[in-house]
Amino acid sequence: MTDQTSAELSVPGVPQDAMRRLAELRPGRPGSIFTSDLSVNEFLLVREAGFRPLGLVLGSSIYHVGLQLGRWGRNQELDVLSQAMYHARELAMTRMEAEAQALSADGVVGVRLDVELKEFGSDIAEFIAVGTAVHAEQDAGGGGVTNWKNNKGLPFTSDLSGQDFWTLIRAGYAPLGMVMGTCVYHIAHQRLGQKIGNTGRNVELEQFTQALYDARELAMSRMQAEAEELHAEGIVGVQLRQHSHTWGSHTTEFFAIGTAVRPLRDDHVIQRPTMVLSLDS
Amino acid sequence: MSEDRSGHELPPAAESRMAEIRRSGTWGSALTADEFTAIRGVGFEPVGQVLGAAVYNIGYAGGYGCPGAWAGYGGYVTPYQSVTAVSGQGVIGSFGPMVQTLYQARRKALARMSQECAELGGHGVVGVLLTIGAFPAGGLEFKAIGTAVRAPGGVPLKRPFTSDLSGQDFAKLITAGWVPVGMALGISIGARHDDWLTINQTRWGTGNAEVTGYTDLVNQSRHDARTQLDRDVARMGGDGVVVKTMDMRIRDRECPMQEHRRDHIAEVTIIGTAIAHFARPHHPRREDSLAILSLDPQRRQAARVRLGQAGPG
Repeated sequence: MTDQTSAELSVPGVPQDAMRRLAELRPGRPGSIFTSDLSVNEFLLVREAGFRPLGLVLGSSIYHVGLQLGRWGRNQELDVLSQAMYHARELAMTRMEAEAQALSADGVVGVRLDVELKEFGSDIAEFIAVGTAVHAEQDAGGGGVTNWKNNKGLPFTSDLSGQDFWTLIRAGYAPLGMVMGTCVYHIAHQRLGQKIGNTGRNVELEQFTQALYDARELAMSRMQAEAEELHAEGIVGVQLRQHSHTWGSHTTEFFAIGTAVRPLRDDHVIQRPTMVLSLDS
Repeated sequence: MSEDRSGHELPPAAESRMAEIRRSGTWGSALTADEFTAIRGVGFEPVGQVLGAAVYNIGYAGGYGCPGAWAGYGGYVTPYQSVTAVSGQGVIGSFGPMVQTLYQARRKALARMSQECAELGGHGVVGVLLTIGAFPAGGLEFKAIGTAVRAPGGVPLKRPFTSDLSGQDFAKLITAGWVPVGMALGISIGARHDDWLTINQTRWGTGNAEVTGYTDLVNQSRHDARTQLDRDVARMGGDGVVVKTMDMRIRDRECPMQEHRRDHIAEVTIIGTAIAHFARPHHPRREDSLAILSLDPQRRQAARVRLGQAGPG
């Protein structure tokens, strides 16, 4: 803290005002209480960007994933399993969006979309989407923005953290919605002859490389298609995840998720950040 | 409520430690140097380390019946679609008594910690660590430890605030005009009998299907926990709550009402800090946050790794 700030704050006033507020608390007060899943930093930055947290919103679905076996020697997408991943995540996200609509929110920030396998039952996983619904104040995004919802009339969703959200709004962009693409891919096994031939050699395993390329392309093009549906200018904060869940090592899910964004105004200027070099170790 | 009065009977060892601190004027704390600087920077002073504890024996937990196993005229045979019984609704056979006990024990530990803080002349406790563990001699031990702070010249409070925020987070909130009120808890236990629909949806040969029974169990339990959290915040008079952890554990058991069938039980715990907005009429509006770009390569690398592991936030 700079000398000026600490002098300003240790002037009698701030802590005493805080204690006076606590002494005046009226317990059992009905009315709106906001809940939020944000950390302290995120909470303060989201407020500074001009948004007020309304409540924690949550959507979850426990899903039984069906079986599908791939042909031993072929690279192929397992579409039954891909469908399962899409359907389950969509159930979780739509439930979360419905809760946000019920709160009359303009958007949901800090969304976490997780899959958790359950020990009870086999092939049962819980898909959960958690975020904080926010309401845009008058001066959000530099003022003058009337509609924050996307072209489907739903509150925007974004998996950006509070800090990234603040930076995006300051740069003159607004989130439209989370876009995702998923693909469950079966990677072909090597034939016996190939396997023996490759032992002890430094060589590229071409069919594995091909499988990775195909699977990633499918996942990313599906994510791209979702962003185009929202008429977005671009996608930021993309994460590309890969899990095998319980399907063994030759079946993996490629999951691409990001936030689609649109510019708030044509003439936005992005401020240069201050560059610092810290002297502490 | 009775749990606030229970703090009057602090154990004798705690009373003598409080008297010692008041006599000597030297404070101890569990704060790091950074936290100490942050707290001092907003005008608060650390007063001492405070502790509250309670050891409980959970003898009667409830949940001895299974209302979901009743199938009307058929009696206790597997119903087609069961219902979820959550602790907050007080249905017969729910785990209401268990949840009541968990609340009572945690509140008692927090109240004793606040009592120590008040005796030292503090206004509240920061950095509270709230733990449950097995006590070696039997029972469950609920413990709350934190550092008491005070605002010099501030009005004395009947009930000191408690918060699980670190010193730096506390300083940030105070600077922005928010003060912690207390720790808020939302606890709920829901139980559901495995009905025909659930069993059919979880067979290995079934294709993709949402398991509606478990989804209902999980959603109802979480919803009940959030309702309890809201009630806790309203009881304290806060404006809102910042949630720190939301845990859920699911286990299954033999149904007490019907042979060869199982029940699933979900236990949800939400812990957060209730906060209130305070007005500062004679202070200028805080300037905007400063966006900085660190030129230190090691710091940027460490930040990238941290974000990659932890995800958003």
